[in-house]
Amino acid sequence: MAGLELLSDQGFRLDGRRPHELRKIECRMGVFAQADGSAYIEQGNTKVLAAVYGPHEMRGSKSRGLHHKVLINCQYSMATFSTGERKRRPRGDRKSQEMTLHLKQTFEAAIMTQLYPRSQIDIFVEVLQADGGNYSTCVNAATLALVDAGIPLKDYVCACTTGFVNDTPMVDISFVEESLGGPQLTVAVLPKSEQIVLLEMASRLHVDYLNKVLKTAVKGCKDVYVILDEVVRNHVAQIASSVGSE
Amino acid sequence: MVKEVITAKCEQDFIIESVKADKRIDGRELNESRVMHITFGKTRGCVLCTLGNTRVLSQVSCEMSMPKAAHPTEGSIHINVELSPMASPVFEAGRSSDLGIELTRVLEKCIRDSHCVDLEALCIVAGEKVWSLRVDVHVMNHDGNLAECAAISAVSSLHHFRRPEVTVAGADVTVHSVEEHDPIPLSLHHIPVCVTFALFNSGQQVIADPTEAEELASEGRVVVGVNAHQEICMMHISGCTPLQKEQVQRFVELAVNRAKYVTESIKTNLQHDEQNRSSKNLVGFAKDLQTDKILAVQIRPQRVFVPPPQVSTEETVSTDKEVEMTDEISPPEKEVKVLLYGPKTAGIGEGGASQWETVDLSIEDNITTSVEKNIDLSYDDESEEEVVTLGAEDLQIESRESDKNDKAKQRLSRGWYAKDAFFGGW
Repeated sequence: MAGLELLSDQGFRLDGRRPHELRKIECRMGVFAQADGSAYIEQGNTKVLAAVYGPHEMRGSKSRGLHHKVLINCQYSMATFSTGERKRRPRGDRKSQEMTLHLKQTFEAAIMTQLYPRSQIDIFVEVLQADGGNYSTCVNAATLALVDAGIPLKDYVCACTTGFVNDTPMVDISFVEESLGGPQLTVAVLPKSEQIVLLEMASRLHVDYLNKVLKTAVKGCKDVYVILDEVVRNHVAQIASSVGSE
Repeated sequence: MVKEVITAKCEQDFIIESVKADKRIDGRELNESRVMHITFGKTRGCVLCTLGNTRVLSQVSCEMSMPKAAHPTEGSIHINVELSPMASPVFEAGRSSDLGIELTRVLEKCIRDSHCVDLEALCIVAGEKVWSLRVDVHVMNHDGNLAECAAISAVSSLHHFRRPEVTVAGADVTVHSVEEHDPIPLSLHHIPVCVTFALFNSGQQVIADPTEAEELASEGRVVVGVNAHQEICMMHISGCTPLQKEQVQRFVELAVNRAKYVTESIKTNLQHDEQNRSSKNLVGFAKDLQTDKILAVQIRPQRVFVPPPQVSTEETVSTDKEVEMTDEISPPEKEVKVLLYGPKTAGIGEGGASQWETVDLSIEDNITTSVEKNIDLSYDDESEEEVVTLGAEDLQIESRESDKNDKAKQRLSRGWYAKDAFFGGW
């Protein structure tokens, strides 16, 4: 495996983290003026921008509107400079289309869609730098943007990608850990009820280990939740103080 | 713009309500899958898999190409999913829909990313020539659970495929034809199988192998890719119903059981095909064409004209008036024999002999096994039961007394598919 040891004998990962340790998360809300809600998040070196428009009237053909719930329109794109090798197409390739689809499925389960029939909510996410856990970072960013836009959610949606090396689940894996193979489990969770809205797994993992990895992944999501919640509270407090209320 | 299948609200509600009562519209148990058939084509790597009414055909092909710079000693595998417009009114030609993308990614994850095919074994000259495999998956009919059917089809076609033998002498690469050298099978590590579940009742109830109607009525879908070694190769859960961790465990357990059965069945089918090929028996789809049965087995009450019977067992009924099956008569289902084909599988009647074109072939059968019908003549007070045996003449086949020469000629004239389709193999 290229001479790299993903987990040292002392129990440290390549970047010096413990297996259950998340990367440093930094985020800001309300980064765009035009959008109804926006957020910027950094998880380690993975950087994602998210913008939310809506709920608004149907754009394009009106017949796409759903009579019993809101239509969620997602777009996942990766900046051409986000990866080591320059990307030719920022979106439209099969992986991006799949990501788009997964984002849509995730937020359809989390947004209270029945409140806005015949309307549309647009969620745009752009990966500025890809260093592993792209999907989870995008979900976290989109959640913050949705909160910023004031769209009713059942709960925060927090996502986390977990790897599995030497019988040890490793939370929030980076690009190097991702690319060296091994199973990867991505979950998007509503943290308060611990309900899973999206679960995605690739590569091979024995059934017996599933529970262990899943537990770690859900724990990782709850850790993300704590951070996101704090950011949201600070942001709201700041806005409240700037408009003069207590 | 993509059209969507529209189902009536009442139909969806009916499905949801019946699942709540542990019932399904097609009479299956909640965790029961539809009958699966794997049929191998005449060419290597061609497989038709059917799961109920869902049909998927896949074909593997290979060509020599340059390897990627990052992996100079590895061949490649490309999966292409074609949702043909004939499979469903929703599918459009030449457009990759969400379903198409999802299905492609499911297969890619299940087969390519789980390292099912040994890619290093596809290397011919390191850094210069490798085999690149292409799996074309064609959906022929969509009746739900495409992922499972497509995965079975794709994996079995990879197992069925043989690539040509090559010899490398210095810089020369010779590809041997089929006649020169027996082609060699791919080296596969395991058989990954996808299993689909549909979620109902806010995730409390799961049904295995959903049909299209059930998929549309469901709250979410779970696709689990497992192999016989109990390894999860891929998993995808999505939908509008959040789940608990314990439920995920349950799906995986169910999927593992199903995968065991499916892999066994793939293996026995492959063995069977191998035996047929080595013993020069019929291979290819031709042998599976049934010409002596019609497919519809439904019987509706209708007016029938019963001519004066010539043969009878106990009592001759000498009436030539029209017998009307009215509402008073017990429904005809009761008179038709119920045939048990296996556990939980039964049919009503055999459908009778086909009267289409190939009718001449089955004349002999008609004469020997005449159709028996019990007609309840309940307009009589005593309501006797009469057994009327209908001979072949009742089926209005005129040329029943065909001599053997004639029949032989007809046999020969049955050439609407290639003759050598019967004798396959390399």
